[in-house]
Amino acid sequence: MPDNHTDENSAPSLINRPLIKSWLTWSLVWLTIFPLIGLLVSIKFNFPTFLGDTSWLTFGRLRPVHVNGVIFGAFSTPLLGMLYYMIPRLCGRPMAAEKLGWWALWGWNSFLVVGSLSLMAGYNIGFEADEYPWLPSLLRFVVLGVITCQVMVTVFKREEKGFYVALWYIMAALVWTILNLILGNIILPYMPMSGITNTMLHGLFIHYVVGLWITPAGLAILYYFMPTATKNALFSHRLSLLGFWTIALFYPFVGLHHYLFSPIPYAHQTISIMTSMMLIIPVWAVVTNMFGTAKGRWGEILGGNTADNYAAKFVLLATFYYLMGCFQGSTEALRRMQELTHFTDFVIGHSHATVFGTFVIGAMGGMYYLWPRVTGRQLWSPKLASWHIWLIISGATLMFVGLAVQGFIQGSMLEYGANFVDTVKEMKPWWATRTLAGATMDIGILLMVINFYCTARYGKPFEEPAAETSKRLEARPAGENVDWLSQPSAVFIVAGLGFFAAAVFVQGVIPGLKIEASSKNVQDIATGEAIHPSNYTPLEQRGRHVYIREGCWYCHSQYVRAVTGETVRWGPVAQAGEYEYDQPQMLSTRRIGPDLSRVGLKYADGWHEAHHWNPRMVVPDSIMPRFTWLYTKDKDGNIVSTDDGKALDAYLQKLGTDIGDWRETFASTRLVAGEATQATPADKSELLALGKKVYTRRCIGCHGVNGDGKGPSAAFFKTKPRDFTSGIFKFHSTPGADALPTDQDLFITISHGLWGTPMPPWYSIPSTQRIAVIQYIKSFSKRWQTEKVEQPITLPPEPAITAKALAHGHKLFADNCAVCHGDQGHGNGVAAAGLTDTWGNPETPANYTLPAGSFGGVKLGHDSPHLYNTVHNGIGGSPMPPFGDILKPDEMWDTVHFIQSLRINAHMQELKKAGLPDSGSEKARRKLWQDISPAAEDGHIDTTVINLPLKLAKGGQG
Amino acid sequence: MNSQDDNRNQPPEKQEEAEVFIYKDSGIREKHGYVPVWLWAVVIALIAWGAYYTVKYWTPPPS
Repeated sequence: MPDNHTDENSAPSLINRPLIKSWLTWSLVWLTIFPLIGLLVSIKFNFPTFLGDTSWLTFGRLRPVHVNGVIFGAFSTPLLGMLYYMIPRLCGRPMAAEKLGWWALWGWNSFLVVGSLSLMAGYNIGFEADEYPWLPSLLRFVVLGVITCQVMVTVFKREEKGFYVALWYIMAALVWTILNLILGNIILPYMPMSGITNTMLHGLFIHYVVGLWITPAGLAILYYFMPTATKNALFSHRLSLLGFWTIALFYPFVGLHHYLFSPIPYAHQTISIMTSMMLIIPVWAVVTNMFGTAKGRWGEILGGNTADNYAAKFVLLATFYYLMGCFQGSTEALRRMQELTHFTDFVIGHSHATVFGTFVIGAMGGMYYLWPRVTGRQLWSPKLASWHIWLIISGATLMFVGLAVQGFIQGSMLEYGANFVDTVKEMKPWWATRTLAGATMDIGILLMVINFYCTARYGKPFEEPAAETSKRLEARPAGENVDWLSQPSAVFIVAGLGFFAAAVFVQGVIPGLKIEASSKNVQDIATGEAIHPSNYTPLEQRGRHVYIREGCWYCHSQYVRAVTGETVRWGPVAQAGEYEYDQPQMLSTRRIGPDLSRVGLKYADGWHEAHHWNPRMVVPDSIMPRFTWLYTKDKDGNIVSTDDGKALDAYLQKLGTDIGDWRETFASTRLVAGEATQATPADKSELLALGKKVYTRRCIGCHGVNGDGKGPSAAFFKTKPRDFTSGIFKFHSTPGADALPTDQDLFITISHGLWGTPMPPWYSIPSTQRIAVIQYIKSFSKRWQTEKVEQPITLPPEPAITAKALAHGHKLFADNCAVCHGDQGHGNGVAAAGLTDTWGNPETPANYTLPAGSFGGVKLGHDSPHLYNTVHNGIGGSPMPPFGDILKPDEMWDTVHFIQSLRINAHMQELKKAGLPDSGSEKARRKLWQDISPAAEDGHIDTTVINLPLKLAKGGQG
Repeated sequence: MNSQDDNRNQPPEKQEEAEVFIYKDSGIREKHGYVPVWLWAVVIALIAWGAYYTVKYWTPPPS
């Protein structure tokens, strides 16, 4: 290996220039590649099919390559290379075991290559910023371990008595990171724990990558190159002390702010917010120190054209972004800010402003300073350097400001109640701007690479100027300036080990113990009783693996917060016990797509299959990638899911179901439509135009351009989309078989969706759009012009629910319904097989015992008014006839109550299996009746019905 | 009391001139310097706010 220890001026044989040059050369490679991958990924926001359907090149695979690559490639590679320059210079002796630096370089490059390829191949362990599998993680740990040892030995055996602030940061960064890698690579993935404990520790980990690696290591760069590049004395040792010790004290505590409003204990969230705000102190201390150091040299820095001048410009630019980005970071930890901006691009703006804006730019500044010194050549083209910095300033500013603004816009839209996909559509022009900004920055980096290449090849010989001595100030040896707080042992023991351990204990261990004690149970939403969450089946577990592998979690969060209307949008707020079996946890920090923690049973399997095959078939505005490798062709040539695809669907259907059958009483779909939803003739022409737009954006993929139910996704569905040209609809409050429904009926179906079918609920789009699309749907059939819509039936008062009524209802059910629905209402009567709908598609009688959203269960709810209507009027286009002329009102009510008792009994069985104690049985059963029967809610229910014994029976009733 | 302590009562400009240190192999010079008064004010204000916030939001507000 080359060995060249000659040096230009005061410190001969301290540094190994070829070694540093090699590190910096590889830095240029990674600086080019990893940000470029980010640019490619950003194009996918507007062109989701960009780069084709190759699994290795999807957003979910490339995103972690970009993020980790920028952290560990574009930033850490130059930083590590600079250590071989800064440490010897600051310690007055060569780096200990310097030749290990070559092994470290190749080990580091191998880690980056193997790690990136692993992620692209789908080997992802599921923790953000900690995704690399064990092999590259081990390589990273070994290399950093070696360099840490080299640095420590060099520092503790240093010749220089002074212990400069850059060394504090380097030492602390290395110690913290070694500890953090143990946390991230061993404890997080392998030590058994519940999902929320996992989440807390991951919150600490992810912010330690940023706050205890990138920040201190990056500040070491700023502290070293600011005084050397400006040729000025560092402004204030006291500010250095204030900055370092407050960063060391506060930063280790902040990580939980990544998961505010989650089930993490509230007090510990508060600690993370408070310490995040406290970080304003070190940031302002550092910034004051940096700008103070440049004082008196601004003219030379801004007007100069040497490499050192450009180094100073980049370091000052980094300082400015540090001020902006970190202030944004502190304030976005505040709860009100998080309500609005968390999960949006506002946060991405912050991470770009800090990781790239501050520390990658700072590292580039250091490279400008070092490159002439390690190549022995003057900077080839100041003009290219000027273009470089202006392109970076333009691109970075455009990106940071744009991301922050678009984050506010999306957050505000969501808080206002906008449909999620509508907010995604609104982001597209902003994402185009982001791509433009990224391209600008990448071109700047490319110019730097060209300039550095030409410098090494064609640059004029460079002689490092001798260190300037102040004419005005008399300098003394730095050894006189060493106080206890700036001793290596204090940095190593107190900051490096002590504060880290204290933070992990306070923000990880203590709340973790609380969570471990309380997460064995969840509260059943329907009854309020405590039940146990269930573990994943092997199929669901496999699906979870696919979910992690494909990076679904980079765009979909899995926790509903009790703010900004999320409980209305998605469902009940997240509970700690729901994550009992989630390791790695999948709470996520970003919502490019909607939250998925309540997606289970929201859509039919077929909808997911169509969605994963081509998201734009069912959601035209979707930017999700296709997952074509989750499909194969069966022997008939049909596209069907692979085992992985089926497993992913199974996993998604499990999400959010551990809190019981909450969908039955979900306020957003529990609707009664009033007169306001009935369009008048005067409204219709205007509504038709809007309705067509709505239909094109939201309905066409399933129901087809012509409304005939033959949209492109229909091939994936067991339950075929409705053919609107027939003018026949399932649910109508109007009497008679296949009677035309009222607008209110259609409004309820559209808003509620049809459980167990691919028809999702549309309550999240404005009611005007729902009313409008009803008019457009009606335009597909002439029935609306030729027939009159009857008046809805009037529901007679619901009688009391008694044991006698249930027995009567049972008899009526056996006589009239069991032939299709089966004796116990499982949908398996003797006539069930071979039933078809009006269009000849197979039809399955409803299984009344299934929870809301299950395939084969009821489609619009178990509540009394709806069931009465359905029994009375039948179901349009299906074999279910109207019984309005066959049964008397009281008979129909008894039948309805018996049907409801089937579900309630089954529901009680589900709760019993989930751990409902016998003592809670009566209260739970009463609550279940009250939820679906206004009569029960008014107290018209016999205690004999409530006090039914609860016993587990295989397939039977309780 | 050492020379640094002696200088603490002097105006910042005086302290700057009196307290400059050099790291000889890197050529970096460092002033002992000072922490500006306005930054101390920020520090005190933030610590006071932090204490208030932690106490006030130790438990969730009643919803």
